Amino acid sequence: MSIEFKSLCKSFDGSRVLEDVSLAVEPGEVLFVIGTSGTGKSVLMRHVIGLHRPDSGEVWVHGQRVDLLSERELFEIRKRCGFVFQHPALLDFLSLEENVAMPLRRRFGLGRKDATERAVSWLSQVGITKDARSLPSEVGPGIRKRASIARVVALGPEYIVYDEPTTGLDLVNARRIDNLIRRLATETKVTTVVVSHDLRSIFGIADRVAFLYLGRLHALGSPEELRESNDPILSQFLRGRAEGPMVL
Amino acid sequence: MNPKQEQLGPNHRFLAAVGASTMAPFWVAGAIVLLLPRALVGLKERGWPAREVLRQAYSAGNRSVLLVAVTLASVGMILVYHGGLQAQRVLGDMSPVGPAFIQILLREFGPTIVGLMVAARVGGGIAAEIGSMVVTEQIDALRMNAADPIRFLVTPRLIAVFLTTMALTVFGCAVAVASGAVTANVLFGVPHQSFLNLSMTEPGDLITGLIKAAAYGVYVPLAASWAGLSAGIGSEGVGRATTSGVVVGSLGIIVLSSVIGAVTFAFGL
Amino acid sequence: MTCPPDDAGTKGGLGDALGQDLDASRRGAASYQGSSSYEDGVGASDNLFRRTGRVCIEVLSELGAMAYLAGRSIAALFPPRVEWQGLIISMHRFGVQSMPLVIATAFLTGVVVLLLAAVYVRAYGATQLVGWAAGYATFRELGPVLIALMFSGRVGSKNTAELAAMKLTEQIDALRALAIDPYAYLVIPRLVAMALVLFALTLMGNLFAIVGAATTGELLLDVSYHTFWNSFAENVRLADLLHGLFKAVVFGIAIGIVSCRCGLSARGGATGVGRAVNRSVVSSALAIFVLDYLITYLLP
Ligand SMILES: Nc1ncnc2c1ncn2[C@@H]1O[C@H](COP(=O)(O)OP(=O)(O)OP(=O)(O)O)[C@@H](O)[C@H]1O
Ligand SMILES: [Mg+2]
Repeated sequence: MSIEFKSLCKSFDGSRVLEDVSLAVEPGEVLFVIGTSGTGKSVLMRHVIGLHRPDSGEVWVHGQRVDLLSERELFEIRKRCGFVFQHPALLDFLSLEENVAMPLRRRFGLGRKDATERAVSWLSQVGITKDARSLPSEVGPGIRKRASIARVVALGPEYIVYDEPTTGLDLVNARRIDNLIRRLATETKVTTVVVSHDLRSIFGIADRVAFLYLGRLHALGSPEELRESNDPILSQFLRGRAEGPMVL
Repeated sequence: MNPKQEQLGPNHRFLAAVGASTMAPFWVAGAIVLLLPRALVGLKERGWPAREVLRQAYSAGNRSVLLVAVTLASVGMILVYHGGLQAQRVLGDMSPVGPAFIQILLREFGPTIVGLMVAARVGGGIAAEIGSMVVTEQIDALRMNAADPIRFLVTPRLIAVFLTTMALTVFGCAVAVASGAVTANVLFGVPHQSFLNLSMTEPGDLITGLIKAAAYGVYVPLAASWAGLSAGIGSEGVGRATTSGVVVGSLGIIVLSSVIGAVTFAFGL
Repeated sequence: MTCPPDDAGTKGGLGDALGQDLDASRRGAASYQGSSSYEDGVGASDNLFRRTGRVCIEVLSELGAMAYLAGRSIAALFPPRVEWQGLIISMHRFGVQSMPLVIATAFLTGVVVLLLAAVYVRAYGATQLVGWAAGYATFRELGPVLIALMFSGRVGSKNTAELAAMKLTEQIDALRALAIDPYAYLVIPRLVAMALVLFALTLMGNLFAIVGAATTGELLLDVSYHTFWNSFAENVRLADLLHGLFKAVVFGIAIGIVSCRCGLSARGGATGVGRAVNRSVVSSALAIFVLDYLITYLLP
């Protein structure tokens, strides 16, 4: 029971974004998805909780085929599977604290006091203490991002998809988020997919790495395997060189 | 909020807030009025931007003609229905229904309702358009090229909306009279000849109506442009600009309608 | 036109709520562009029929989308769970936002209604008509309609702007991802709040309209307050007031549905918000007139 894509294709207005992507996430592992900007990583992830539906192919989560579920049935999947958006997408009329507490109250019927307590403790785990009462518009993007991570992990999902959780964070906070992701995966067996451009996270906490290139799955393996690989495109990407065989 | 207000005590702060919100409409009105000479100066310097005016007039007319038709037809129906009920109940004579309706339509309702619709449709559109130019920094780009945004954006819209409003007012009144005539005929059996009768309409009514239409035609594009030009940041900024274009436009029309009504009344028109 | 599986391939048939909204509007835009470029090539064949047909299809699909939104909102009411906080905040905001505009409009309505009757009063000396004329027309028709128009301009457009901004910054998708139904959390409190607030505003506005009418009568037509009141009290029935208040509730729900729909279907960045707001104001006005006609026609 995990997350699996089976020969998934997706295009927008006639332009192909994803082509025949097949990828299975092992239970309890941390799988990183990497690739150049615009290659369709976020689009692929949005399929997991039914925010996009594939043109062809299948998406399986927790033993169910999500691309066939109705919006109502998807809510059951979304309760199991958390999703951290690339852009924080916090509700702009609630404070950070309320942003974390509101789903707790609605989903678990917690009282206001309990929910706020839990929200505060999760916010402090991502390094937010004094800004907890501010509105999202009053804090910087890095804090918003971390609050949006807290909002998802506070709900204790069995699967979590993080879309670029450390992009735009300072190095210290980025490592703290890495540790949090790793800890949740190891201690509570959360099956985790992380989209990232952050090489330090990749080589720090990934179990396996999938490399998307031009909408296709180009390479898949442990970080060491990928590093040692002599595929010219992959090694150009991992070393971040401007010159090479990659087309954009 | 004014930073100075933070130095005041709570009572004074309250007074300052009351004062600020009382003065706000006047500041806005002033800013809108000040746009007029700036837009007209552009006209004198560069001549008629004929092509842009035509384009804007076409889009303004095209956007609002259906709305004006539906609205004025409904208003004609509602007014004739109530006027007819009153006449039936009190006079038992249906002959004044048509003339009375036409008189008040030309003087009050026609121009004002058309103006309100133009403010919602065209004014909102202008505010959204200019607002998103501000948000995406296109206005600053214009400035960088030493082009005056007011002359470039406001002047053609002013002329175009003025012409469109006048035309739509005539059109809307015609629609309302037609729908009123049909209503009176169907509901109260009033023949068309006795409905379409100008015996109660005087030149003063027509002049008042035309003055109103002209005033709205000038006011709406200026108010909308002002709202667009003062847009804040982000997509909320555009939303707020559009809302305030519609709101300032329709509030201003209500005020103008009362003021012009009072002035023409005082002059015995 | 082929349906992409984004909405066609779902088991429930109703499909993916917001995703479907999005795709429907995207498809609309694409087909529009397609047909216009096609016409460029063909030249003269952009005839009236084709344009009319296109408008009809757009109007129908828009109506369908609104019915869908209403249905989804009703479905989200089960199990019943009132978002008290959201409801009260919305009501407060809507009320405060629109109060001054509504008072001004209502007062003006009273003045205008009296001017409508003035012709008969002047020509035939029918002063006993004045209070009834003002009360009847205001309560049943002009009060609810004009106040609702102003309300949609102020509150409906603001609501659309907010929801559109939320849609474009992925806040709506974030709610869905948190397994919170945006219809239950965002739409229902707004619909209910708009209906309640417009009801209250119309009730209050009626009062101001009558005051405006009575004052105009006194100043312009030399009809004393006393005569006005007698005519009003004798002839205007509670049913007239209730008729208008019923309309106000219906208008409130309609403005809510239209403004939420326009906001939630916004697309295309900052420009998209402006376009959504504009569309919302216009559609609300049309909805108000059509519903007013229907209710007046169908109800005693
Ligand atoms: N809703 C949409 N409608 C149309 N096109 C879309 C949509 N969402 C994404 N795309 C297109 O799909 C492509 C892939 O986008 P995506 O956001 O998945 O890239 P990404 O790999 O996440 O890039 P980044 O690293 O910059 O986040 C882009 O070209 C984008 O324009
Ligand atoms: Mg992305």
